[in-house]
Formats: sequence, structure tokens, C-alpha cells
Amino acid sequence: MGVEIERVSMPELKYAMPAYYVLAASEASTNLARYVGMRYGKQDGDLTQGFDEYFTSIRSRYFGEEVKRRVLLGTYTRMAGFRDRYYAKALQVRMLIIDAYRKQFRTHDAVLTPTMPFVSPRFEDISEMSPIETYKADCLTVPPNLAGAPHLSCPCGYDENCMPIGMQFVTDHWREDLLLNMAEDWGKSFDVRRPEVPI
Amino acid sequence: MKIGLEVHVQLPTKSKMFCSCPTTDASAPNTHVCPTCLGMPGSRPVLNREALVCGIKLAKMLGCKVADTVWFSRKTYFYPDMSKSVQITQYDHPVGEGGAYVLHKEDGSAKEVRITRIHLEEDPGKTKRTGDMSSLIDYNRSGIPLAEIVTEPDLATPKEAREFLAQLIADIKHIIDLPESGERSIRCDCNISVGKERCEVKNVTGLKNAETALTYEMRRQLKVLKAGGKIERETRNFDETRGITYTARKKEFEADYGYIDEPDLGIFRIKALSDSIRIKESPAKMILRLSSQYGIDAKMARQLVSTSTDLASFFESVASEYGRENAVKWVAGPVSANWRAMEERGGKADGVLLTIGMFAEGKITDTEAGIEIKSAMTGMSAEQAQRSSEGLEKMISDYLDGNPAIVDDYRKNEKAANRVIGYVMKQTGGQYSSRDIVAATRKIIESKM
Repeated sequence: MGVEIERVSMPELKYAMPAYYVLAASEASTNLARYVGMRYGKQDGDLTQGFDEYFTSIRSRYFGEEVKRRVLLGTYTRMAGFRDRYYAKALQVRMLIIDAYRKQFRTHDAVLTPTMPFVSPRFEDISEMSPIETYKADCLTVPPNLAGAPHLSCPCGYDENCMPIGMQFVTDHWREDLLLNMAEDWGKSFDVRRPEVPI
Repeated sequence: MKIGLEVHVQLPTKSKMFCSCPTTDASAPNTHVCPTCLGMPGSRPVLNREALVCGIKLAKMLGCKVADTVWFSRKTYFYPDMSKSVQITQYDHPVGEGGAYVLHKEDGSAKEVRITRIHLEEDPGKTKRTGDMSSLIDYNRSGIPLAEIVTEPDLATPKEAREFLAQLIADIKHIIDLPESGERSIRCDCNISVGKERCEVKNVTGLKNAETALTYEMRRQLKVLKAGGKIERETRNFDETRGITYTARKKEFEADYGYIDEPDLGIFRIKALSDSIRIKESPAKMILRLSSQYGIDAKMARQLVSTSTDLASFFESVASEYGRENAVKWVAGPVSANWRAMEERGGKADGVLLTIGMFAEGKITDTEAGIEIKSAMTGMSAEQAQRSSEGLEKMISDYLDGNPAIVDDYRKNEKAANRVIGYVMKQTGGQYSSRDIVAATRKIIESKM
């Protein structure tokens, strides 16, 4: 491919996960605020209650477990008294992550990492993972997302069970062109095959 | 006593703040709405540049430091008239901060009122309670751009607050070209503390109501303190028909709005835009300038400007063409009295300028000029104008001859003229405009002095 590869260290990226989940939950909790059973969300139950009680009853009844977890987390992280410690801090971390990428892009065209920290799990493995473990699976895709940097995943190899392994290109803001060119070049030289899953 | 105000102004943009729905009065509820102002899932706001321009103009008018970079925030609260349970407003980095606005009081003194901040936000929808236990919601107002002006607690009395609002509203209307009929779209939250703790009276519309609400609240707090009680920090509502305030909610349950930055909008760098915006002279500043530049008293300057800033500009044209004396004699007199009538007819003052010119050059007499001006401005024929003004002047003159003490009293206090004005109004019952009567009365009393 004519690409020079250099190993670099970006220690800041380890803070991306907690910052991402604080910001994502904060934003999601406000996005979901409209589902109160009036204009949005299921209309049901006793309409003679006060609107606050009615909204609470609908949200308690119809939101699923994961949604409730994120709404509660996201409401907590932006509450008066906690906002500076969580939400505002996460915004600062995001700036740190952006700067870490910028530093690399001064001397490199792209940052290349695996897409996931482990080889693709099977459905039965996923069902046994805790919420924290599932969140942690995103530790390599979350940093470029937080930085707003274009990123692209493609298969790059297979493990001993023939499960696919992905790699991720990250380029600077507005450099989607580089990203697509690299992926195209890689696609020409890499032989993609369907995983041969033993039956 | 300390009074601070939060003034909400609906901005005169053609479309809403974050979508292209019209801001004009709708023929029916929920017709000026779209996915964005209804807060539908997946809809995205796009900032109306004109709203930002209005905000910058007002920030400049209030002597605020205009931010180089602004952004918007989500204020989360659950209320039926907020379609998305989130209001887009400004929390960090509002359009203007740290201003100072000089109030020129009717008694001639001036007072600086500090402006904490001015920020932009969207109006929520409107809840309409129906007789039975239900409410209807109209989202036509949802997304109308608002500027919120927050003052420091620098106002000392309800009367001063009213004067402040009157001047502020007149200035705002002129600076951002708010239509006359927009008066109702200025709302106000009044904070007042007699002792240590303050109460906030929410959603008061109009100058008179603001003064009434504050006066009621002042007396209530004084009464509580006198009886040895403690003022509790709370939000109160104002009952317009009864002129009283009542508890809405105690502050210990104050909502936590959980502000976050609005991720759908991004950051706006507005320095270049702000630098390119020049604002017009505000009416309050124009009053000061006219009075010092032409050596007229503040009252006359105020009367000219409050009738119309166009009238005040006309005064300046006449003064520069034909001298200050003629401007005072004609513009502050008969021209001012007939200005509204002329505007209502859609007339222009060009002809009046020529008439004053002919008088200044000695081509026509005082009386001829007066009749000419009256007829040109009101559209009456010269005969009608002559008869009408002769009749009015004769009545005033006769009354003064019968009550010569008024002329002497007038020297000490101009209010003495009110007796004449009252008499003429009663006698003629709407035949003449009150402005005509006032102008003619002044002129005749002064001629007899």
C-alpha cells in the first residue's frame, strides 16, 4: 500500500470512555425528555392526575431498563451540584482527546487501531456480559466519535476460529477523502472472506 | 428596597427562531407549526440569523459587552406547553453581559441601572385552560424568538421600575423596529425585596401591571416584616383583575434545569457580525441630545420624541433650515398636535416644511401659516381649518378673560392650564383632539402673559 507505519502512544484516550458515557447519557436524557405520554410516548393511564404525576407514571411504566439507566445517569451528571464534576469535566476531557488526535495529525495522516478490544463475541457471550462490559467494548470507537474525527472500520484478518477482526482508520476533521482512499487501497489488497463458522 | 427585572421581548423576525414557520398571528391554533417547533423526534433546529442580529442590537443598546462567541443550551423542564420538554436558551456565553443603562427620570434626574445579561431563547407554546378540568395547547408561539434582559436589583421603587420599563420598551421598539401592536409581547418577571429575602412575581404584562404587582408585593412584605414575620423566598403569580400576587411555588422546590450545551446547534463566532452592526440612536438618548443641542427643556424634547422619532427628526430639519425659534414655535406646537392625524392619513411633512419656510421668509403671516399647516396635515379645507382653530381659540380666550387668575397661576405651575383644557374638552365634547386643545391653550395663555 506504500504506507509507512509508526507505533504511537495516546495515553489521553483512556479517559475517552468515561467522558463519552457522561456526555452521551446527559444528551440522551434530554433527547428522551419529550417522551412523557403527551405528544410523544404512549398515552395511557389516569388523565385526571397532575401533569407531573402523569408524566412520571408513563415514563416509569414504558421506558425499558437500559433507557432508564441512561436517563437516570444522564440526569444525575447534569444536576446542579454535580454538573461541574461530571458534565463540565467530560467536556474538558473531550477537548483533551481532540488535542491528542491533533498532535498525531501534525505528523501522520491517520491513526490506525483495532475496532474492538476483543474478537467478535457470539450472541450467547454477549448475553452474559454486564452493562459495564458492553460499554467497555466501545473503548476504541468512542475516542474518534468524541473528537468528531472521521473514522472507518474494515475487516483486516481472522482468528483461529475464523471470526473476523476489524481495524479502524481515524483521520483529521474534514479528511474523509484520505479515509476513503486508504480503505479502497486496503480493499484491493485484502482478501475478504466469509467466516467459516463450524456448525 | 431592591427591585430587579427580567424583561422578555418577542423579537420581530419573519420566521421562528429555529425553523421557518411564520411569526405572524395565525388564523387558528396549531397552524404555524412544523416538526422542529413541535419538537418531533429527529427534527433539528437551525438558528435564525436575524434573531441573533436583534440580540446583538439590544446588547449594544444596553451597553453590554457583546460576546465574540456564543452558543445555546438546553434547559430541561417538564411542562405541557414545552413540546420537547427542553427549551433552547443561553446559559454560558449569552449574547451580552455586564451592561449599564441610564434611566432618565421624569423629575429630570438620571440613574444608572446595571444590566446583568441579555440572552436569546425560544418561547414555549401557550396553555389555554378550558372550563372543565382540561387544558388546550397552542404551539403557534412555540419557537418564537425571545430576548431576555436581566437587570441587577438597582431599582428603588415600583414607580421607578415603571419609569424604567417605559423608557426601556420605547428604546427597544425603536432599536429593533418592533411594531406598535407588539406591546403585549413584552413580558416581565419582577424581583423585589424589602428586607433580605426576595420574591419573584412571574409573567406580568404591561407597565401598569408591573407597578401594581410591585406595589402590592412591597406592601405585603412590609406587613409581614412589621408583624415580626419572615419573608420566604418564593415565586408568586400576579392576578391582573384583582391586582394582587399569590404564592406559585416555594423556592426550596426550585426546579433544577440541568443545563447542557445544545449539541444540535454548535458554536457561533459572532465578532465580525457584531462589529458590522451599528444601532440607531435610542429615543432616550435622542431626548437628551435634542434638549442640550437646541436648548429646549427636557419635557418638550420628551414630548417630541415620544410622539414619534420622525417628528423629532422633523424638528431637527426645521431647526437647521429655519432656526431653533421656528422649530420650537411650529414643530413643538401645531405640527406636534397634528402629527398623529397626519400619520394616520399616511401624509408626509414636506409641505409643512415649505409653509414654515414661507413664514420664516416673511411671505405669510402667523395666522396664515397656522391655518395652512393645520389643513395640510389634517386634510381639512383651509376654511374649515380656519373656522375650527378660530372657534377653539375664541373659546379659550373668552374663558381666560373670565378667569384671569389662571394666567398668573400658570407662571408658577404649568398645570394651571389643565383647568382651561378640562373646560374646553367638556364644552366641545370630542370636536377637537386633545393635542389641539393643549397646543392652543398653551399658545393663548403664553400670549396673555
